[in-house]
Amino acid sequence: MGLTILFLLFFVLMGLGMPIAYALGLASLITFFYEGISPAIAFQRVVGGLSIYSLLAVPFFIFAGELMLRGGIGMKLVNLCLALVGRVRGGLGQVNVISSMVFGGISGSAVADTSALGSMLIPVMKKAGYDTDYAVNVTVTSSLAGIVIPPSHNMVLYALAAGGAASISNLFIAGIVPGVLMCLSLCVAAYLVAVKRGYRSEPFPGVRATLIYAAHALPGMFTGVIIVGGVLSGVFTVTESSAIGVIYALAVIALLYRTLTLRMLVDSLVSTVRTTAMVMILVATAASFAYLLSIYRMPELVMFTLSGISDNPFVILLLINISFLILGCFMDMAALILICTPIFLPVAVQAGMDPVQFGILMMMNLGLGLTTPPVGACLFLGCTIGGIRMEQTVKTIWPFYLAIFAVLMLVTYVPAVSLWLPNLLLAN
Amino acid sequence: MPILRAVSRVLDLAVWIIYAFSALAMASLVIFAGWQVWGRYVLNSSPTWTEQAALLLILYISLPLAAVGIRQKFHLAVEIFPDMLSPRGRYWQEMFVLVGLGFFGWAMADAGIELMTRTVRQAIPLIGWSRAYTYLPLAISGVMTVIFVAERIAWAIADPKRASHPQSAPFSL
Amino acid sequence: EARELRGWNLHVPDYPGSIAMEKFGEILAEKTEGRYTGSVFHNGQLGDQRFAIEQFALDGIDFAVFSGGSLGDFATALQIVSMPYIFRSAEHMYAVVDGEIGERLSDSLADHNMVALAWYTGGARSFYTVSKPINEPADLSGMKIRVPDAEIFVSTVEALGANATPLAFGEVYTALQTGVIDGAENNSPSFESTRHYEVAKFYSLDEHLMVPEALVVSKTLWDSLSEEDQQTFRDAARESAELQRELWAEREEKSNAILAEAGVQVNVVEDKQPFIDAMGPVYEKLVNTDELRALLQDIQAVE
Ligand code: NA
Ligand code: NA
Repeated sequence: MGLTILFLLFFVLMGLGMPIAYALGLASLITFFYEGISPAIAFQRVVGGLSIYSLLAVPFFIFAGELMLRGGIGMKLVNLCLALVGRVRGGLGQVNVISSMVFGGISGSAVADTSALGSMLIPVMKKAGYDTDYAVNVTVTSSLAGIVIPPSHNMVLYALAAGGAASISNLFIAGIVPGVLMCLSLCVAAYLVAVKRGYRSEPFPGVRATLIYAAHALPGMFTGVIIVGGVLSGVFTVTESSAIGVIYALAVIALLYRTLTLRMLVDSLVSTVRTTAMVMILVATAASFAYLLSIYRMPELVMFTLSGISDNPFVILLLINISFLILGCFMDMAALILICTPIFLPVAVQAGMDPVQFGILMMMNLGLGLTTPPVGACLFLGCTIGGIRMEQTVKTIWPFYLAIFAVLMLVTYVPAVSLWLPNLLLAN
Repeated sequence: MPILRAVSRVLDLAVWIIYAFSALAMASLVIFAGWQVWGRYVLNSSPTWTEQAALLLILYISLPLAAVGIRQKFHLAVEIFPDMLSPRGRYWQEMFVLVGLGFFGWAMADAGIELMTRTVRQAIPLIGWSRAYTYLPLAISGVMTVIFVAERIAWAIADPKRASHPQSAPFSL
Repeated sequence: EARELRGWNLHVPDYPGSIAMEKFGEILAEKTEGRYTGSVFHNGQLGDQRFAIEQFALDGIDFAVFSGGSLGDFATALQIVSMPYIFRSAEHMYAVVDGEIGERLSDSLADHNMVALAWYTGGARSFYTVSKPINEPADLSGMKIRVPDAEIFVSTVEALGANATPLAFGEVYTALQTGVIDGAENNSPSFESTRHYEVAKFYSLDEHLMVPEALVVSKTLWDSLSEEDQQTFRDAARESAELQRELWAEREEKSNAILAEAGVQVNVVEDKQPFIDAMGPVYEKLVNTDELRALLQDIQAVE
């Protein structure tokens, strides 16, 4: 009964437009009252959910990303990619995907990717004669690279929610192959659509210009290398690594790009703390919610239900994928990671899946939710930038969904896609 | 209405202070983590207070600013159903959400104060301050939530078309 | 009317203490004919140790096993059991906590709405290091030793001349591997199960910390019990503690075998006196009330 009240309240409150974090919090609070548990515990969990040191990596990722963006890394990346892949038919589409892949190695978030590259590339593509729906579709779907390719703050959230079952280093490395595969398969989709619509290609600016663009872009791209490298080598913890990433980004834009101003620093800080508050309040109230899920033994319940439907791991994993895809359509990614990990991870492990592989699967599934209607932050942002209605753009997005879905199936059923590289690099 | 406008101007200031504090605290967090690395590799002695201090600071950054998010509407919300409503329906939908948020804020403040009272004589390990400081941000966030909700309700009643709501524009320092 | 008691536990389900907690619940259910059942939540699902201790005061949790060290942050009397080298042996520790001193420690928990019914063992913690064994305090000089985030560990390690490096538990393996730290300290089951022995090949049994763990029940619950039920609870707790101590010894043996197989060089520190002598400032700093000084004397007097 309590469990029904909890979920019913949550969905009703969220549906009525209450911010998701507060819908989680209020639904939990009322359930605490119903169970006769002191509401002080609900709020003690709010503080407890935030009292985890590696969680600090999240604001640092956000901060480093803000700095690189405002410092002008975006344009430098786009120039480089234009020189490298612009000659392909529908060149700007390729540039869009590849820029996302490279940018994914700096930013931890798909929304940052959409806003950074989308606001640059969508207008350029429109001016070059590409249809708006195509420009938006490519931008939005390729932004998933930010989540899957390391560093990724959503992976930090997953590692925390998994309670040590999957290490951050392993997850980071495991994201590389699926992330690159996803971008390549999006490149193919973008190419096929471009050929069908007869888009043109871009001229090659010459080797010399390409090298200059590369020299401009590389120091900024190195921010991500520092963060990931610091974690992998064990020299820094993930929190320290991301803080060093911030300091490095500051140094690059101050000394090399020379775009650092006090105004810009203040704007980045304000924007960082605002995003931090958004994510953290979600983490916090989700901890209250998770406390109740534990009390009601929800993970065991789901395990029992799913194994009642089928004992075939193939089917169970498919069911998990479908659940994620549906949930992702209606809810935000961070909240889903925090709620679903304790529920579905034990089921997936039972079905023989490695927690690291499951993490990548979850990132892709829930990331896809960011690009689907009705609730998709990236899709919404992309449409706003492109000045197009969601219905219009979604009509032609299916080749791109298909491209991601194909890789998702690979990740689900071929463990090596995510586990080969970490096993190779982090042996023992 | 003039009184309400004056109140909102005071709250603008409160919001400014919360942002300024959070921004400074965020900069300090980076410095703490950097100091930890510096201590370990260069001074060959790790500072033992940085982790606990950072954990405390993140609460002061996140929780009060989350309350500000209710005033500035920057939190993630699902707007499919509200978008389908008539202006009148939209008005009541917002009232409903605000009352819910206000109740949550009140409970948060209440729990924050209770937890502070219970823990005031305990110490945070390695920095030695009272553990009540851990729960103070809850109380602050709860109180600010109630105030901002009251402000939004007052504006909604005073000016249902919300032409002059003070916080429709995004904030900048 | 049947009542399901919520139990908090830090460890994974197959840990000796976890099995013993489940046993506590089973005995209760059997002896009270289902009026009380225990439902244990493992892995710290309901919050970490500190937060869980606070939840007792709020009646959120009915029973739990907490380490003496964590309880010491709340009830000062408990600080005494986590002082370095305070127990001469496991037998000495059992004699202390199972006797009158155990009752006194339990009484000190009343303010936090807890009654300690029985005591589990947390094993003995010793140093493990990457480059050389520890035989005397001088061997630790200048080494970076990972410690948990608590005053007592920092003070102990620094009094021995090493650099205390607080680091999250999950980071220790790579930190040892990359030389961020020179060593860490723990009991042998933890040393073994974390596979830290793969990168730290020296295990020096100085047994600096032997911290008992308390099986506590909520005082609200305790006061609501009939005298007969209180006795049932107490017996069940004692029985579960006996089981835990047995399982722990077995587990230690198993771990030691694995360590030996892996070629870990285990050395018993023959002369602990220089280590004990180095603890002077730690005791001076932390045993700082009449209550603690009296407890210290009484503990030392127990045979
Ligand atoms: Na990324
Ligand atoms: Na979506």
